[in-house]
Amino acid sequence: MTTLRQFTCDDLFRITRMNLDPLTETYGLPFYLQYLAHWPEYFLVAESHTGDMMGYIMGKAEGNAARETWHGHVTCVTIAPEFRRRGVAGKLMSILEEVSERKACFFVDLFVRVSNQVAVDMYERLGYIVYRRVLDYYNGETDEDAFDMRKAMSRDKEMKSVIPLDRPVTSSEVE
Amino acid sequence: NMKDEKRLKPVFALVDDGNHKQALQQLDKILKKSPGVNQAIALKALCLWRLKEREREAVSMVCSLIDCAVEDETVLGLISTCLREMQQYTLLEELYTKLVNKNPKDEELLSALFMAHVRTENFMCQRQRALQLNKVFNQGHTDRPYYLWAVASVLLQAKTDSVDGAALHLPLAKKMIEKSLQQSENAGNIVKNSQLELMLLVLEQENKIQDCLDLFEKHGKFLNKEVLIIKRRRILDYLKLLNNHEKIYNLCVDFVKTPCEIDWFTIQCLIENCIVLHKNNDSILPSTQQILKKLYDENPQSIDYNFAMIELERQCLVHKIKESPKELCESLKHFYLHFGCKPCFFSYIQTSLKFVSDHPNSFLQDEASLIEPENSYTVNGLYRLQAYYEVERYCARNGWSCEKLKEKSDKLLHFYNGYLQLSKHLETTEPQFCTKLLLLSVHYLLDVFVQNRKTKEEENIHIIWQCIDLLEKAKSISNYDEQILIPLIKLYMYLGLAVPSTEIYTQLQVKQFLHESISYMLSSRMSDYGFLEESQCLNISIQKYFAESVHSLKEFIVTAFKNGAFRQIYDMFDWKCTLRNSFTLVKSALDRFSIDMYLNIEEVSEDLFKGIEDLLIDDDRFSNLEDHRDIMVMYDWDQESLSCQSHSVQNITYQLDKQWLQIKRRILQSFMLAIKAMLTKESNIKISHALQTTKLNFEAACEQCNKVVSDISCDFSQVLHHPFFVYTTGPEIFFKMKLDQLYSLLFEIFILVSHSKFSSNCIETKELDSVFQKVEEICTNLTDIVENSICEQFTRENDGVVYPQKLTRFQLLTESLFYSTLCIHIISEYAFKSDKGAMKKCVAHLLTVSECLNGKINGTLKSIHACSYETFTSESHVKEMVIESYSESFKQVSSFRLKINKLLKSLAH
Repeated sequence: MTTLRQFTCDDLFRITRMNLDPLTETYGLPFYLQYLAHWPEYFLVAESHTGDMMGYIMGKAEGNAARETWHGHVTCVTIAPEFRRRGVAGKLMSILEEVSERKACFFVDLFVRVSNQVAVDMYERLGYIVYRRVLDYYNGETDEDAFDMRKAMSRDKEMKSVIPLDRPVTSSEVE
Repeated sequence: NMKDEKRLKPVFALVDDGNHKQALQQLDKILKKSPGVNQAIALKALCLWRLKEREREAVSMVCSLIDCAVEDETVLGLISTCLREMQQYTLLEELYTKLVNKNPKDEELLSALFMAHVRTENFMCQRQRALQLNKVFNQGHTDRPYYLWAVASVLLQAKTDSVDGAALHLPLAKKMIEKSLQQSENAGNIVKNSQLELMLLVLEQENKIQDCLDLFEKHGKFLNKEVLIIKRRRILDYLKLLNNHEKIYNLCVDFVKTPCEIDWFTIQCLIENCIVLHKNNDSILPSTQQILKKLYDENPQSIDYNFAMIELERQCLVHKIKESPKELCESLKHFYLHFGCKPCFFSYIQTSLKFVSDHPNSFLQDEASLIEPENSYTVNGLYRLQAYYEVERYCARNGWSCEKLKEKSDKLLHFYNGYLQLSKHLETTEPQFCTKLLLLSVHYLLDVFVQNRKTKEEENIHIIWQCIDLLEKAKSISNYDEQILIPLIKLYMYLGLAVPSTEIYTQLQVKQFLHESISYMLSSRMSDYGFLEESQCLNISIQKYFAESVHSLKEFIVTAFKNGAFRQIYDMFDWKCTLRNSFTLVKSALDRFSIDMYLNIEEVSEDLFKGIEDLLIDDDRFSNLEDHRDIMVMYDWDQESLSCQSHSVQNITYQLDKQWLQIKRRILQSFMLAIKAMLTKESNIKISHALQTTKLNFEAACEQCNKVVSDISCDFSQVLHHPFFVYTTGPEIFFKMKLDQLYSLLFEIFILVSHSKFSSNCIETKELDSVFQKVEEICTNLTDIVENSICEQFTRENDGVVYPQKLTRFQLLTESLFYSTLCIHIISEYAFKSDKGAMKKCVAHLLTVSECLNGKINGTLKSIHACSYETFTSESHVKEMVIESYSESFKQVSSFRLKINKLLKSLAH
């Protein structure tokens, strides 16, 4: 159980510990501000009973309704190490899905490193499937592929958005 | 024309790809052939700006094009981008005003002008433009947000105008938003979230909280983008402001009875308000207990519902509704049995521990039963073990002998080594499961160090190295775990080893807002160790982050307007001040200037002079400081910080830092004034008065600082001497205090001298003599310090082990000499033409000190190279860094010392 609320600018000073985790990217300030200014309802924090930060999620809605690509996207979800294994990420994801439902999205998607098995397993437990593999999506010392994982929302009655592709795609093919 | 466009097309591509250098070459070629191509000029200005080359020229190039922008859309786009990036917001406003005057019916231009006003915070014009947009373009298109832009502009005006805000602008904003809501309702339109959010902002500013709640009730589908749990939170927040305990309690009871998701905030409100209502209602406590018990019975796997029961027990003890912690103890026992295997166990019970800390074993199981048989290491077992030792560390604060502490450390290390096998499959980029056991082991070792600090300094230093070794080994398994890296940085900094500290700091990838909390570890001591250039790099990157942040905030306020995210506009607007008032920012600016003074001791440039002056005279910047450090990132698991509460550590370090900042400010200020006095030919009584004020401010800051230091000495003596405490330690504070006295006296000399110079009065010889006598005393004192304390060996004779504390003192003394020499140098430049006797004495003393230090430096450098580092550490890469660190530190200090010596010698003659 957590306390959930919308992210505010001041919270940036309180996520230091989470962002020191090597798998959590610290973006430039404009990146966070962009999400606050565009999609505040998709930017949430989870606090513990003492007011400590347990985690946060950042997302957005994008795509085209006519082409049935209008969807919620999880940009980042991160949980402080001591609050892992407690379903906090699942809770934040479910809120993001609820917001996406209200926005009449067809699906929710996210990208995850193929090596991050813990995360892939978690997303699968939350009902996501690997929709496709994106080659060299992550750049760094050594490039790494990503899984594009998806979960259909109620608007996609025929579940068309979650039929897996049978071939990997390159980063440039990803919209 | 077409030809130009064709030539410029590849240049645009280069700029888009960020190849500004190449683009600039192409543009120069184009402009050589056709100098009047405006697009090329605008592009060139953009490239020059982005490359940070000839920035002034770039700005003037753009200015020259403003008139042409009216004719050419591409040029307009480029100029607009340039002006935004150059932060020339007034010019941007002028540009769009001109364009709108020519094309008053152009919606795009008019809204661009509105946004230009947003950037300059010209609220009045914002409102006018928004209403104009609404009048011209919103007929039949009610979906456009222009009217709401006008309301938000008035609201911002109300917020910032302390004179007319509440009386004039706020009522106007309210009237406008009410009209907008009314119109929507009358027309049968759906009331928009943004309209309601604005209404709420108005009501909140008016402090009409009940009206906010009524608005919630009136619009059932209110804020349809928000999920239930967030809406509930907002209702409870409003009720809390109204102190409506009964309503909050009843609402929370309703919330927990409905099958929807419950959050901790609801439970917390239920418990808090039960406690408040208990005074007048005896039955409420048992009924709340029952509610919570029922919730737990229905969800026996839930740690939170179990914890809710503990929290109620705890609150009863806090508010003295109950006296005995017996029930709490029972609850904790149950909690440990069922949830002790969760990594967050300790964070749950920490606040309850103070009620049971005398008998932790009454709710923890027997220590012996925790020791897992070999080959059956499990994650659950690890966390249960960890929970046990976390509680034990918290509760057993004092009274353990060194032997017991060592024994505990060994035991934890043994467990750590055993549980490492759980992490065999993990990558080195991932944190290990059992790192906390290692950290606890290291902390117990450091407790031994603190206990022995006064009596066994020589052997003690090995404990620090032992800790470093343990952490370095853990780092080799898990490269990026901040739990390992941060203590390592602190220990290396304690030893004055800037090279490994900087290297690990780089590994932490500290950037952006992380600077606020993390850079503190290095920035507070780096320059003391003689690492001036490295310290300067850190200061520059901190300042760059702040400058970029403030700039980008303006742009995202514009974006928030476009998206109707009015609450976020409010938030960002406030945050601009928050950033500007950051203690870290002001400290880094001041440090940067101080170091610039060090590095340019022989000649202070006009730019530097102006920069320092601008910063120093800005009283607001120093009086509205805000502390944004998340101090617990640095003090986690430190026994002392656990015992004296994180907020105390946060507060005390901040108070002390703030006072040092004031002292540093006044010192720099006096130098600036003295230099000004030297440069000014005509008499200037203002300078003399300014010096007088500076002195008074300086003394006040010193007094404050002394007070904070003495408070610390009483309450935090253990903390002060802990190697993990990233702060100036005891002896250093003593030295700094001595220096303050010296500075204070030197100021007095400045004042006397400037008075005599500017008022053509003779100096009162007696008065001056007495000041100089005091200066002499202080200088003698400093010399004594050198002879009696620092002249001790920096290294141990038999094995060359370095005493880091002594090095630190020595480095501080160097700083003191710099300032005092500079002061005397300045005085000699323009005073004492007739009688230099007193000053010569001072100089002679300083020279003695200086030469003594020089000898020390050379001797220490030799012994550092000669000594065997086997005694320090088994990690070979660490050995290299040790040599590099000490050598580099001494090298930098040596070169600086040579400059001082040269100055002193010239003065002595």
